[in-house]
Amino acid sequence: MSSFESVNSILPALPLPGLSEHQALQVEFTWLAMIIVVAVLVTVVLGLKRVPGVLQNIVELLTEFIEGFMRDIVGPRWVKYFPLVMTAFLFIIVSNYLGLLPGCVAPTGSLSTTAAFALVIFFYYNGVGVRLHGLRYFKHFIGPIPALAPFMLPLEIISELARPFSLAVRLFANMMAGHVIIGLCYAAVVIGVPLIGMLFESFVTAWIQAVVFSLLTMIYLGGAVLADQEH
Amino acid sequence: MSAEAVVTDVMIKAYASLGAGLAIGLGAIGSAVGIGIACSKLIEAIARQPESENKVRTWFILGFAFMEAQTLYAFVVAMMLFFK
Repeated sequence: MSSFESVNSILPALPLPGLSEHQALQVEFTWLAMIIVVAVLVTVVLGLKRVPGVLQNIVELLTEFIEGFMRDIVGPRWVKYFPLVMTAFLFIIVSNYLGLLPGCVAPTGSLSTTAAFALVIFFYYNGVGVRLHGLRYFKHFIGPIPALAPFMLPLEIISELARPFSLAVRLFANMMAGHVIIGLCYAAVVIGVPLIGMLFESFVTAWIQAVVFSLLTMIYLGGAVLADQEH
Repeated sequence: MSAEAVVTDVMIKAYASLGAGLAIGLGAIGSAVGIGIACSKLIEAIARQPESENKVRTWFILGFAFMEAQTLYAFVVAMMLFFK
């Protein structure tokens, strides 16, 4: 994969111990994405207006977009779980688009970033389920019919453990595939053709993957929050 | 390196490249069929009930990502083989 990664970055690669040059760049751009998210949100919140400006409009649009899904999927107690989902959504969408700028590296193009996100979400929603329902939360592992429990239990445990894995690999593979395709276009014709890959990635992959990641987070959370109901 | 080792090395590379091509090609079949079926059903649903478009499209995007992910797993395997 390293042969497609450009080394012409806008940030100098710091000599971080134990990391290669590209990994150090990914760490730096992770910080850059975090700084962008925090700076934009702080600017908007400090300057809240009744008639919103451009930046406030964008942030409100994204917030309402996620809020609509949260109401539908997580149910009446959605406010409590909103910050985690929104944080994941904003960070992922910013870092996906960051990767499209020339001279930048997408933090989500690294399996470490996406795996960290997926593991945080995995432990969080299981923790929420245990806190809300106690040990009854684990009842859904044995399936609807007690007699079938020996067959259902391994299947349910495997499908539960596959969730963080598929969350992480889906996002990582989408971003990496996008960058490899842009790299291939660039290798074919230097001018113009890479734009096709970049347009596809910016209009389809980048935001769909952010939406899908946060939608799945909400669905898992909803499953944990509403574990005592039929769903 | 002996001549035999060189030949073995070349053969490993050749088969890995072949496997990479097969992995991504065969892996794409499933999600192509799946996305095709889902897309046709999406259009059908919107044609029947145009007011349900927004809701249906959301779940289509979610399913789309699941189906697309299968090809991307194949892509990761192909890349691992290719850059072996």
